[in-house]
Amino acid sequence: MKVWVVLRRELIGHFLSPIAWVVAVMFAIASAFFFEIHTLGRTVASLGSVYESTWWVFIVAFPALTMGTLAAEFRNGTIETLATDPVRDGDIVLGKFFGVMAFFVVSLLPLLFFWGLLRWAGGNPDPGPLLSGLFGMLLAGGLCAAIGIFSSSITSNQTIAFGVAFLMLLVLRLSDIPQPIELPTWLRVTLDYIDLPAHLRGFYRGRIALDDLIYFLSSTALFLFLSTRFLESRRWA
Amino acid sequence: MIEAIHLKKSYGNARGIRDITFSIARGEVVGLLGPNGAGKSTTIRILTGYMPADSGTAKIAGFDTLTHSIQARRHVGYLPESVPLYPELRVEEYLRYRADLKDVPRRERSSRVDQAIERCQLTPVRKRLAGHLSKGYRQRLGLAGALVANPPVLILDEPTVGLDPTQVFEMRSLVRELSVDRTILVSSHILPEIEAVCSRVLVVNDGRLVADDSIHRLLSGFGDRSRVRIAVRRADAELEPRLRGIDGVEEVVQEAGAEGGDRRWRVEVRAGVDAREAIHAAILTGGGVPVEIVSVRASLEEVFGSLVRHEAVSSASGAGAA
Repeated sequence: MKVWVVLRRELIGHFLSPIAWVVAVMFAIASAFFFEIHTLGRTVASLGSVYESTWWVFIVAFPALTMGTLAAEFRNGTIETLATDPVRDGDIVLGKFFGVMAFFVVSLLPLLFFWGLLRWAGGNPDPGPLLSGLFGMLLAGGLCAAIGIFSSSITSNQTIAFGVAFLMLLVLRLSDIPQPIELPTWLRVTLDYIDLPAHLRGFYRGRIALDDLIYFLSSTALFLFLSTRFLESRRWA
Repeated sequence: MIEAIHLKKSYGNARGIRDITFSIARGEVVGLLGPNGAGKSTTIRILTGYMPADSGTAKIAGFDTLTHSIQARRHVGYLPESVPLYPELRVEEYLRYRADLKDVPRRERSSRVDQAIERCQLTPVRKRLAGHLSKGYRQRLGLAGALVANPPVLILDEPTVGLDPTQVFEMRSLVRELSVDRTILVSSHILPEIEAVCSRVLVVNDGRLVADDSIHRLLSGFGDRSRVRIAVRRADAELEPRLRGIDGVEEVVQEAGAEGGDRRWRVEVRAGVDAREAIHAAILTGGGVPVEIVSVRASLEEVFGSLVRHEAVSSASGAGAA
């Protein structure tokens, strides 16, 4: 399977890249920090606030993890050997995507440690919300990764790829920010619908809703599809 | 094995290719020659399936590079001009990666990688990071990557650019060695390059194919003229007019580089005429001594220059007529 071949090289790249490790450490520190102030501070045995706050780390972390995925192939010219070897463009994009996701899963491991800590300290977190919350984080991570890869597919400049992904992820959070200005209804409704953290809340409470699932899976698929098309069309120019 | 049928590709501006048709049979080693920007890389990128042509068809081993892209790509090893590598991968790792991408079966993988390493003389650096390799080794690693699946067709875009003379020599002998059982297309803007390894040359200029012939025929049939260089000691003043009077001589040009009392001329003779004996007699008549009478064939540079000029003239006159 070619996806696996691309994924493996991608992982080597991530594990050798200082940026990826900085991101992993960011995940760990952010989780620890929020864990402390939200969970221990309030003595509520729930990791929900940890998830919610980790979202802000996502907005920086995913653009950083994904900015090089395709942009660097274009910049280094390696796209020319990759795209002329017998590999489909879709396999390239999926390989990159699962490479980012594999690294992401590894950086989530500290959360398991915190959960163990909570148990050991006598807390009794409900495993339902914990697991569905983790699942939600994976889905949200998948969408962020897809958006990041998409941004990386439209440019050979990693900084631009980072900026575009960052802005797009910020838009997904706009409706949560109190609005001082009156917005037209359609815009308000749209912003509410695309609001990513809103779709995560159900998962934190242990509820996996179909519309949330559809939101994450369809938008992830859409951005991966767009990345494939951009990868294709940029070679053609 | 390689077919290009009426390929066209434009980039919005003038660059690109206008109409390129050729066909390369199994086992041929063909040079793709042209000045920078003539359309060599574009042609190659279409043949390797990297980009589609605006119109026309490209086929590798009978597979259309657009409609049967994956099958076509399985038959080609491609070395792009920039020799792109992943700096973070070791030589072995890179070749294993390329082998996997090229569908080399798992159990053959390490032997294929070893073969490619041996063939391209990468053994001393096989554990080294690609990012730390010298230019010569980078080039060989790129070639090894193209070779690792043992493809029947090799397409090499400017494989000796940036190499020192020893490395150029090594790269050429490697290409010659590989040509034994492969179809190879090598692009270059350096003529001796092509002369050294190819049996046939395609000349492109300004997006068009201006010549497609064997090197031998291209050189001997060039410009309907052959050329004789002479050096004469104690030449008399009347020698030049006498030379012009010889049947078949079309042009006599005095050349620089006279040493001592010797003077040099270039005599252009109509093709098929051997004027050397008459030239010899003409020199003796005036009491001069012929110290050199050499028949020279046109260099590929001259052929190329003339083809390109001819092309420019004919397209200019075509534009004038229209």
